[in-house]
Amino acid sequence: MAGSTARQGSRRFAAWSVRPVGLLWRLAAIPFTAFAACGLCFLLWHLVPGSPFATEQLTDPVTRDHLAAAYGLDRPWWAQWFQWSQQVFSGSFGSSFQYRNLPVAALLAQAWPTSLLLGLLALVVGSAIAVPCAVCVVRKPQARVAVFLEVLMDSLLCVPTFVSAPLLLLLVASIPFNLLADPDAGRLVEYGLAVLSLSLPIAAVVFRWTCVALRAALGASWWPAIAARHLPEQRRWWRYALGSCVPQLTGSLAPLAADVLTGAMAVETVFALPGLGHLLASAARHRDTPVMLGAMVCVVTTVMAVQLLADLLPTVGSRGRGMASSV
Amino acid sequence: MTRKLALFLVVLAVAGPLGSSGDGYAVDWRALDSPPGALYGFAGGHWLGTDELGRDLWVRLCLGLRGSIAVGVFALLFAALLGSTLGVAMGILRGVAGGLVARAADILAALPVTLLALVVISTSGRGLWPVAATLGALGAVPVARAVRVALLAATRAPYLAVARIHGAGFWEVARWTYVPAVAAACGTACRLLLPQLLVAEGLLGFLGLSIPAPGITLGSLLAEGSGRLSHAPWAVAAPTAAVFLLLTATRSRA
Repeated sequence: MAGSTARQGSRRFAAWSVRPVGLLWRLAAIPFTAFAACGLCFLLWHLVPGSPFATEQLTDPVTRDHLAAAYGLDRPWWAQWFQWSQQVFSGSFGSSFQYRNLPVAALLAQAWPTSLLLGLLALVVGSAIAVPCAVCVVRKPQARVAVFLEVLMDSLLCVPTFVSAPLLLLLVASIPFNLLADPDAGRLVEYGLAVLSLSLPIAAVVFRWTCVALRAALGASWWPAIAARHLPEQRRWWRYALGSCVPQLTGSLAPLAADVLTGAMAVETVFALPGLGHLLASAARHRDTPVMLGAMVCVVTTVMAVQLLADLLPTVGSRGRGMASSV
Repeated sequence: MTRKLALFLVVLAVAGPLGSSGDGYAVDWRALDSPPGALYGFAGGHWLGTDELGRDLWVRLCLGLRGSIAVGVFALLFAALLGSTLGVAMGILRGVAGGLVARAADILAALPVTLLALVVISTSGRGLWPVAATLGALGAVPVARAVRVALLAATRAPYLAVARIHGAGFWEVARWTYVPAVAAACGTACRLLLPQLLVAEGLLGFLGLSIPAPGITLGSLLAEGSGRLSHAPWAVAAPTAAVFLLLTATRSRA
C-alpha cells in the first residue's frame, strides 16, 4: 500500500514538474495563435473578391470610395493589416462598420461573457445527461432502456442546434401550461431551452466517448482486482470505472468548444441572447469585418484556453486512475 | 438502409415537386397559413400546408432539400478536387516549403469551418456558387491532410523496394500503389466531411447567409418557420424532419 502511494505521489510529482514549463509555453502560445489565425482570416478576406461596402444600397461609386477611405480600406492590404494589428495590441480592435463609432472591444466585452456562460452551462448539462446514460448502457447493454438510450443518443448527433432550438421552443409552447407567457418565468425557461438545445449535440458526443472509455475500463487488467474487493457496486462504477475515464472525457470536451461557439450562433439568434454568436451572425449579414475579426480572436482564444484546461484536468482526475493502477 | 434513404431523399429533391400543382412560389390567397390537409384534404393540393403567403410547403420542402443537397454536393466535389491536389502537393513537397504548407493546413484545420465561412461569405456574397466554393475550399483542408498522410505512408511502404527491383517504373507504381491510396483516403475523408458541410450550409441558411431569396434551402425554411412557431408549427416540423433524415443518411454512411 505504501509502495503504491509512493508510486502515485511520484507520478503526480513527475506530472507537475513538467507541467509548469509547458503551461507557460501554452499560455504564451494562446495570443500568438489567435493573432496568426486572425491573420489567416484577414488574408482570406482580402483574397476573395468583393468589398464590405459593395451592397445594393450603395450604388454611387463616389460614396463607396469615400466610405472606403474613411475606414482605411483604400490602402494596400499589408498597411491595413499593420493598422489592425496596432489596434489589437492597443486593445481597441477598431470601430464597427455596423454600429457607427462604437469600438469593437466594447461590443465584444458585452457579448463574450454571455456566450461563455451559455457554453459552459451547455458543457455541464451535456455531460450531466451523457455520463449517467453511458453508465446505464454499459452496465446493462441488453436492457430495453439501454437500447433506447443508445438509439436516442445516436439520433441526437443528427439534430444540429439550428434544428433543436426551434423544436424545443415549439414543444414548450405546445404544452397546456404556457410557461412562456409570463415575462420573468418565460425568460428563464427560454434561457434553459437555449442551454438544453446547445447541450444536446454535446451529450451525444460525450456519451459515445464515455461508452468507449467505460468499455475499455471493464476490459482492463485491473478491473477484476477492483471487482474482487467486494466494494459496493455504485462505488466501483462511479469512483473507479468513471475515474479512469476522466482523461478521455476531458479530451473529448476540448474539441467541442469550437462546435459550441458555432452552435451558439443559431441558439442565440432563436432565443435573442446578446452573445458572441448573435454578434457574429449580425456582423456577417452587415459585412462588419472589424467585429468579425475581433470575434474570431475571442473564439480562438476561448477554444485554446479550453484545450489547455482539458489538458490540465486529467492531472486532477489522475486520482482514480492512480488508485486503479495501484491495485 | 441508409443508402436507400439517401437515394429516396435525392429522388424527392429532384422529382418531388413534379406531382404538385404549385411551383413553391405561387401565392394562394385562399390558403394563408393553412394547416396540413385542411383545405383540400390530404389527397388534394397543399397536403403539407402552406406558409403565411399561401405557398405550398411540400414543394418548398422539396426545393429546399434540392438546394441543400446541391450546395453540399458541389462543396464536397470542390473539396475533393482541391483537397486531393493540395494533399498530393504537400506529399511531394519536402523541406521548408512542405513543412510550412503542412503547418498552415494544421492551423486551418483547428479553426471552426462555419466561422471561417462566415468571414469569407460576408465579403464574397451569398449564392449557390460562393457558398459551395467557400465551404469546399475550407473543407479541402481535412481532405488534403488525409491524402498527404496516405501518400507519405504509400511512398514509404517496404514492398515498393521489391517492386522496383522487379523493374516496376514510376507510373506503374503510381497506378497500383499511390492512386489507390490517395483515392481511399480522399473517399474516407469526404464521407466524414459531407455531414459537416450539410450542417454548415444549414446553419448559414438559417442565418440568412446561404442561397438568397427566391432560392430555398432547408436552413432558410427553418428560419422562416421558427419566426411563426405559434401560428404555423407545421412550417418547422417538415424541414426539421428533412434535416434529420438527411443527416441520418449521410452520418450513417460516414
